[in-house]
Amino acid sequence: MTEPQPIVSVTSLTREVDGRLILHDVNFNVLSGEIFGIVGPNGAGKTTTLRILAGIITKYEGSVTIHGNTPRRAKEQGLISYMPEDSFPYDRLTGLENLEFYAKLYAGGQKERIEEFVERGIKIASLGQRIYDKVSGYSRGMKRRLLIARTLMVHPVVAILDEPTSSLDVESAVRIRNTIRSMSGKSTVILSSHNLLEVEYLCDRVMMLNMGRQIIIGKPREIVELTRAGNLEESFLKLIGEGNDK
Amino acid sequence: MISDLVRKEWLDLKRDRRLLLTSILLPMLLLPLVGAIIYASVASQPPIVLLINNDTANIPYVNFLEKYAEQQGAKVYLNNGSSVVPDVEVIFPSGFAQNISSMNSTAYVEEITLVSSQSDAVNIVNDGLYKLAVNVSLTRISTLSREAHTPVNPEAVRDPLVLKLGYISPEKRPTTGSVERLGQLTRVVSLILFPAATPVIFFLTDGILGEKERKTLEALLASPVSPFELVISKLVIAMMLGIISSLGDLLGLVAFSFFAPLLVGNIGELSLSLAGMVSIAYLLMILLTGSISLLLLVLMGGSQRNAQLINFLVTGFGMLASFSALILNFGSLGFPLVLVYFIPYVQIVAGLLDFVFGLGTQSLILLLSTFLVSVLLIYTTTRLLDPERLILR
Repeated sequence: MTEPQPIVSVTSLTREVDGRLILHDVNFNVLSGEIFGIVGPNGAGKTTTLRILAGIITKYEGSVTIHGNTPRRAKEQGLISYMPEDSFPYDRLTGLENLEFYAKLYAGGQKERIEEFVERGIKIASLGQRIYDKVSGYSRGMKRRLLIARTLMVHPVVAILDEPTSSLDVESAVRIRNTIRSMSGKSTVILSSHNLLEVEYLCDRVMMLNMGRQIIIGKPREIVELTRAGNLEESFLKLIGEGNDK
Repeated sequence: MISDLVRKEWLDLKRDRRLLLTSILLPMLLLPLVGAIIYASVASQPPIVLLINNDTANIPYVNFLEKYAEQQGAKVYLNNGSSVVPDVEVIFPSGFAQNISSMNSTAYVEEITLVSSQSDAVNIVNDGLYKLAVNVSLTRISTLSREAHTPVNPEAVRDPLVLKLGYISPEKRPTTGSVERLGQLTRVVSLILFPAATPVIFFLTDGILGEKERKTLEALLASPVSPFELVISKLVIAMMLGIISSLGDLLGLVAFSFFAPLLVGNIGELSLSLAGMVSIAYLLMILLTGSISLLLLVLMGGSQRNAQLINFLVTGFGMLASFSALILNFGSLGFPLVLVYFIPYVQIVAGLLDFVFGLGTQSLILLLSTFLVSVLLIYTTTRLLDPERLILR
């Protein structure tokens, strides 16, 4: 059995905006098929890191490669699929039309691939007959499921999910967690979340950020043991507390 | 991929009934409605003239004016002013006939005009009275000639100087009065060309900022769509919508050219080539509006405030060009007025006017350079598009 290879490689990632350090010397690798979590308090640099990985932010220092490409190049080749935290599907389109539109963007004009992506998207979204309805009539949870489906259906090399379950009811959040969990070993997923219990449940490895600096990186269980905490949430509070006390 | 983006945009927009109603259907109805009102006001409200005669001896003269005014389309009332409000009231006083038929007297009529009357009644009455005065002058000259036993040509005595009008084009070639009138019409057309292109600013800024506002832009920018494809698709859909939403304006233009003879006199034939040039100018207006708006949007960043600034800036340029078309003679611009060519849109209206005045090559250069500059601006925009600036600013 071969060892999983790093699919994402980040070295000395630093970003400064107007003299303010948003990220400082962040280093991590994400292995193929791994679910990798980025956690941290507000303003820690989670979304900035994800935006850099998604090819949206291009001004940074250090090295970031995805499958050997820069994020911008990886984006153009359709290797990345990104779901921003504050995002919505097209309201006036039906759920199916939303999936079809994104499938076309990623399929490079191949009809079979479009059909395959859409079929997969319908399955992941599991919206039943509501997939034919306009999105404007969907609940927040349904919209989020559609976005998750849109992001994962295209077989990306790396799926990036920013706060996939934020402000969702329990049932919707559980369904989305199960969908993401089912991707383990099949797709590489990088996600950020404020919900540490969710991260502990979903992620193979976790990186904690605070004020743009990397605090710790490792498997959730290892971090919990290392910090002598009861769970990842307690570890987080201990580590962030230490960081802020310094 | 561009066609996929355009198809999605179209699908999205055609389901936005509010937008379709306010931006596309309403303008299509409004201008024809304005045309209909103008037509109705001309057709159902003829100039009203009231003739009051205070002396039976005046009847031949009153009849002359009555007949003339009716021939010109006026509705004439005689001595019955109680039920109508005339645009012009003409009073033939007692003794008028005696004075006008006397060799050595001056006759007077009193003319009272309705304040704010928009009708042509005053011109009709004045023309009629002038003709009456000419006839009387010729009769008096004939009478004098007879009594003096000196044969004269009454017309030559009455009008010793006759003005022969001629026209010359800016490149000093003889031309006709209809070209001059066509030029006047083209100046008016140039004035309404830019406003017809303004919806493009809204469609374009809304196409990009609307995606940002509706939280769909970031995911789209992270997809394999390149900045070039994104920009072109937004431009294509904005131009398509701009053309559709301005069909009403174009209908208004056609209606205007139909009614133009009523407003500016005979304009000769509106040739197919001029109609074609107006269409080209119109498309260039839309293309230039789109390319300038897009560049400004990408340079300034994607906020609603910036969208308003862009609207203000582009509209300002357009208004400058429109008024330049009204007052400037592009065929003979010296320094520093020649610098107006650097104001966006001026090239298009100048190209249109040059075409009408027979400066074909100059017109072609101006319109072609506008097209090339627009393409260059679009290309530059695709190179400058920075997703980070668009998302974060």
